[in-house]
Amino acid sequence: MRLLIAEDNPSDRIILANLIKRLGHDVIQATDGQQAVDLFIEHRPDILLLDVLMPNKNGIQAAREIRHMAGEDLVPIIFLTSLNEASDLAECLEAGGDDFLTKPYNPVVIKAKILAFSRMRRLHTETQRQREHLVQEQLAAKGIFDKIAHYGVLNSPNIRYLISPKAIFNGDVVLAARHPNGDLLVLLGDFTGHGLPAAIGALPLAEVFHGMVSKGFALEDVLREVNAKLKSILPVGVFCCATAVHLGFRNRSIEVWAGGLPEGVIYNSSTREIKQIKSKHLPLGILGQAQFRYEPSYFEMTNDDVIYLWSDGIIETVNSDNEMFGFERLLDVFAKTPDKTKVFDEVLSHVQAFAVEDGEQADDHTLIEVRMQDAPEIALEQALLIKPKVARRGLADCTLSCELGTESLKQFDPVPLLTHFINQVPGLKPYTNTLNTILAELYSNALEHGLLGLDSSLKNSAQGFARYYALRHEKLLALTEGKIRFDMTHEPLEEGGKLTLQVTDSGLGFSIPERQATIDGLSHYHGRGIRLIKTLCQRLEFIAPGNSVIVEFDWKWL
Amino acid sequence: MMTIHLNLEQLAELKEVLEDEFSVLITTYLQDAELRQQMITAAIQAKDYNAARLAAHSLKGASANLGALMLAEICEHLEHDCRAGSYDNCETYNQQIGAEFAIVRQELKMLV
Repeated sequence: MRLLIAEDNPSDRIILANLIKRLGHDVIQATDGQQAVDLFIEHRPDILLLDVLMPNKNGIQAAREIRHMAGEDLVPIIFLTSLNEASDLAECLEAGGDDFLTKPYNPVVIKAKILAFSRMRRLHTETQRQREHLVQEQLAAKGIFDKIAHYGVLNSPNIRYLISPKAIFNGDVVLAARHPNGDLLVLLGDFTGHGLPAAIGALPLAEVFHGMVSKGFALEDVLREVNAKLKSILPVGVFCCATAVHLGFRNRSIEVWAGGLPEGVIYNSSTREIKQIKSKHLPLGILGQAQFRYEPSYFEMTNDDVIYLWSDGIIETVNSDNEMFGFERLLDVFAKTPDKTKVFDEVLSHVQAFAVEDGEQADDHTLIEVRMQDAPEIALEQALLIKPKVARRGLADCTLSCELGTESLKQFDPVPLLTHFINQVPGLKPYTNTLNTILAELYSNALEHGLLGLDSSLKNSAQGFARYYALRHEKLLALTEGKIRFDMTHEPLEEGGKLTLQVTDSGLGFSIPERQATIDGLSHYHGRGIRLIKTLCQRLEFIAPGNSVIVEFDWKWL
Repeated sequence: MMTIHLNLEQLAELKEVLEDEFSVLITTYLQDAELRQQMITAAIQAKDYNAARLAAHSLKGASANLGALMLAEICEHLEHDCRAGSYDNCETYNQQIGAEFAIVRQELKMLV
């Protein structure tokens, strides 16, 4: 250890310096307070011994300056004194002194005190080193975290937000993402607790949110998925209070789901009207998939409407009387702020002024402002990529093409696979039987007539039926050339959707006028199947030279 | 009762700690003490009782450290009165300091 002694009396200095040297420490000597400060800057000693009464600068003043310079470093200061008035001693402690040594010096006491402070100093240095290490690690992790959690469109001109964390990591999360149709989805979440444990839940939340919104999922789908994910990964007792808003710029309305956060407001800056957004649900991550409820509120919006959401850190800020800031005071800020563009700043400055001075922030503070204004231009710049109504939780707008070659045709039945695929469109499930029939008919039509050239009139008699299937087996085994291609497209519509199926074989086809003429009759070889399909579909069309058929199946939500 | 001017036990301990520097300590103390004593005399004459107090304080501490406990005690009285604003006995204390210091000096010189 390196010790600095500041003592103006030369004989006292000699005694003290020698006592300390004998303990194995390095000694730096100053003869007054100013020199003590200068030598402190130069040598950064581990422990200081300061005489109280010294010329130029007394020990108390020197201690104050040194404390200030040392900052977070723990530099024990021991005052050397023969003062014995209680008030003098108190002043020494108040100036940052840690202990006293009284004259005459007692070598045993000096040794014991220096040893105790060395131990304290080493402990503190180690703690500091570990904390620094921890902070470095957290900062590095935070960089990654922010890339995952806070990307998206938070920098849109109609959004302002502030996250003021209590620690490096934050239990509050603000997400914004744009739907393919230009609409904006915003979510403010507040995880139980603070710091790293609270922040970790934000990662899956952000990932699901950004992923699903950009794919055009509805708010309900996103929240259901987020809820299920959080429920499965968060420990019991940890959940996420959240308010999520879908801003529809075309129909000028918003859809809001609120679970557990303090009520937000929709503030009209011209009429000063305030609508409250009240929580009606349990927070995310508590209920299982079956119990999760989605009962949104809808609000019509004008250009002057601004949405404000906050975490409970704002509402629960306490003043010196331990009173909470509260919702009423918040509403008061809205009422008293004449400049509508200043509300965001006013809220923050009021909360700050209210808070206990120099008090430690008790919770993460988060505030977000989302304006309807300015946003439509951005939204409408983007092409309409999907239909307004998106199917819930499943395939919506999709296309599948699939081509089977001879080897596949010989040993694989594609109908179940394709039926399963169609089944992924929610709402189509009740039509499974019908669709399976259509697929099967179109497939056998293409294979048996298009590729194998079988005549269905064979099936008119019992023997012919057997003969037909024997031939089918034979010809299929002998098939050396031939392909069948499926093209399926599904398009979601307001009340359901349209499924278009095209089946094309590599056969020669047939003459269309002839086909069309006989299609309504039962005379032709594969008339029965085609007639069945025609009753099930809205449109059926053969494409020249007859090796390709398109059917359209319109469906409605049941 | 015999007055003890120097605590010899304390000085023996110092001698053990300081080894060769013990004589330097004694010389330094004696020079400094003489200087302080002159400062006290001058300060009292000039009625600068704050300066007298500071010098007495310094001499008190140094004397205590060398086991000159009697001298330290007289310095303490002077320091106290200067601080308290009762200056009537200051000159008396000053003379007592002078007399006690003469004895201490003589005894200390015998130790080196």
